[in-house]
Amino acid sequence: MIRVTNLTRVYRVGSVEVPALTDVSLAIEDKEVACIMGRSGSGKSTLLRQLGLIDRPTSGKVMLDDRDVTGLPEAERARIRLTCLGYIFQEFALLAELTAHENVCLPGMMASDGRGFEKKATDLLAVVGLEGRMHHRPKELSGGEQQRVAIARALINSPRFLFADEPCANLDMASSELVMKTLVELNGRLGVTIVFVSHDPSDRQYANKVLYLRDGRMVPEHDQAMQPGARQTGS
Amino acid sequence: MKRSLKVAFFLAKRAIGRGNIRVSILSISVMVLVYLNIALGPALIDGLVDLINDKVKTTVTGDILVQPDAGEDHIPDADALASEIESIDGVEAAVPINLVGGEVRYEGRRFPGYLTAADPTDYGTVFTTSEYMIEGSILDPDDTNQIVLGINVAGADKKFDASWASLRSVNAGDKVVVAFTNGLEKEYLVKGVFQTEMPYSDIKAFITNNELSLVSPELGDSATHLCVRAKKGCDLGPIMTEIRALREGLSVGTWEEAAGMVKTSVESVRSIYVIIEAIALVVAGLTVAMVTYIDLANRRRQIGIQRAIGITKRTIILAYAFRAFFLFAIGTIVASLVFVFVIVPLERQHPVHFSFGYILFPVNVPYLAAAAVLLGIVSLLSAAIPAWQATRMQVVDAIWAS
Repeated sequence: MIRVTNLTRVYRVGSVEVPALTDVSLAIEDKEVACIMGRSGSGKSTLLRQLGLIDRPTSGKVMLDDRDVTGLPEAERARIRLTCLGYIFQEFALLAELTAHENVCLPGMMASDGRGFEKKATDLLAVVGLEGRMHHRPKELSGGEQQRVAIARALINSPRFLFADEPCANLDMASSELVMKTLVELNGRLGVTIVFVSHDPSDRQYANKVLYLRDGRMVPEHDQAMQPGARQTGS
Repeated sequence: MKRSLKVAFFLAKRAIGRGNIRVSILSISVMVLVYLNIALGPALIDGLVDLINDKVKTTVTGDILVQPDAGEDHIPDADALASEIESIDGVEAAVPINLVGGEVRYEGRRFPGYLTAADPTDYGTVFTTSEYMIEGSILDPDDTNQIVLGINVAGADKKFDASWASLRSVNAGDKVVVAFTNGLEKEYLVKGVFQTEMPYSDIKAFITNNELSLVSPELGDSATHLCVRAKKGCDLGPIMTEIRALREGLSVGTWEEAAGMVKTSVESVRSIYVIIEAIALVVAGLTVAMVTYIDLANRRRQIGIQRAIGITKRTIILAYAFRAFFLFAIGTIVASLVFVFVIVPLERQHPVHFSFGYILFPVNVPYLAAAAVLLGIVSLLSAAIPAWQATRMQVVDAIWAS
C-alpha cells in the first residue's frame, strides 16, 4: 500500500520559492491501478517522483507498505528503487549503449547474483511483444518499442509498485493503446500496484482509481471537471 | 560489492565497446604519449649514468681503488700485492699504477700535472683506454723514451676548447719534453694519442714502468695506487674486505667513492627529471579528468537514469574507474611495446651522442613498472573523482536539469 501524508515539495529558484505540491495526502491500495491527472504544472510528475523515491519532499511523508521511506539515506532509497519499485519515464529513458535485452537485464544484474535475470528479461520482452527486437539498441527501436522495453526493465525485479510518468506522451495512438494495455495486463497477471500520470482523459478507463491535482493540491473529481481546458500536457 | 563490480565492469565494457570510439582512441593516444614521456626522460638519464659509470670504471678508476692510508705516498711491493688481489675470488685483474709529477711541454705550451706509469699489458687487463686510440698505437711494456697522450693533453689539432687542449697541436710522431718534479727533463716521442671522451681519462699522459725506472729509479716496486677490475656482477663488498685483510695501511674504496663528483652531477640531473615526471603525471591526470568530465557532462542524464533504476553511486563510480583503467592499460601496454620494440632498438641503431660518448637507452623494467603503477593510480583517481562528484547530484537534477 502507498500512503502519502501532507506532502509538500517546494522548489527554490534563486531566492524565490515555488510550491509544486502542497499538503498532498492520498492512499493507493495494493494491486490498484491509479491514475494521477491534472493540468500542465499541476504537480503530477512531481508527485510521482516523490512516490518513486527519485526526489525528496520538503515536508510530509511517503509510506510504502507502512514503512516511512521519506528520510531514508540515499543508499537505502536506491536499494528500494532497485528491488521494490519500477519507474517508467516519459522520455524512453533507456541506456543508449545497451541493447533492449541488456537494458532490461541491468537492474536484474544489480539485484541478484545468479543469471536467472537473463531468462526473465527474455520472457518480459516477449510479454511486451519485443521478442524479435531483443538485440537492438534504443536508436534502432521506435518510440513505442523503447517504452515497452522500459516497461520490461521496470518489471525485471518483480517490483511491488510500478510508476509510469506519462508513458504514452511521446507515442502515437496505436502505440499508446498498446503500452496502456500492456500495463493493465501486467497488473492483472503479476498483481503489481501501478500508478501512472496522464494528461489524456481517455486513460481514465485503464485505472480503477483516479486522483486529480490542481496547483499542487489534491482536488475532488468534480472540481477538476469544472476547470477549463479539455486536454492538458505533462507537468 | 561483488554485484557492484559485476555491473560496473559490464557498464564499462559496453561504454568502451559501443561508446564513441574516437574518444577512446584519443584517450589511449594521450596515455601512450604521457607514458612515453615518463619513460624517455629517465631512460636518457639512465643511459647517461650507465655511460658515465662505465667510462669511469673502464678508463679512470676500475671497480675498486686501492690507495695507501693517509700520510703515505706509496704502496710498497705493489706487484706482489696485485698478484695477491688477483687471487681473490671475483677479481678479474689488478694493476699497480704510479703517478709521477711532471710537466709536458711542446712549442712553448705546457701541460702541468701527472704522468701515469704502468705496465701497458697489466693496464689493459683493467682498463679499455687502448681501444680509444685515434692516432698511433699504445705503448709496449718494453718501450722507453715514448709517451702516449690523452686528447685533452695533446690537442692533436682537434678543435677543442683551448683551455682543455693544453698542447693543442701534438700528434703521434711529434716530440714533447717532460720536466719531472725531480728536476729531470727528457724528450719523448709521442707514440699515440687516445680519446676516450671521459675528461678525467683524456687528461692522462702514459709512460711505461720501464721508463719510470729510468726517470725515478727510487720508486722501485711501489705504486701510488692499484686499480682492480672485478668479474661482472660480483659484489664488491666482500672483495674489498678481503683486500683490506691482505695488508695493513691500505685504503680501499669503490669506483663510486672515487668518482663522487660525477655521481653528484648525475643525481642533480635525476632530481630535475623527477620534477618533469611529476608534471607529466599531473598532465596525464588532468587529461583523464578532462575526458571524464566531458563524458560526464554528456552522460549526466544517463547517470540519473541509472540511479533512478537502482544502480548505486558506488557502481557508477566503479564503472568510470574501470573504463579509465582500461584506457590506461591499453595506453601503457601500447607505449611499452613502442618503447621496447621501436624506440630502444632504433636508438641503438642511431644512438644519441653525448660529450662522454654514445648513450644507449636501457630498458629499466622496475622503473617502467613503477611509472605504470603511478600512472594507473593517477588515471583511476582522475576518473573516479569527477564521477563521484557527478553522482552527488540529486537523481531528479541529473535526469531533468541536464
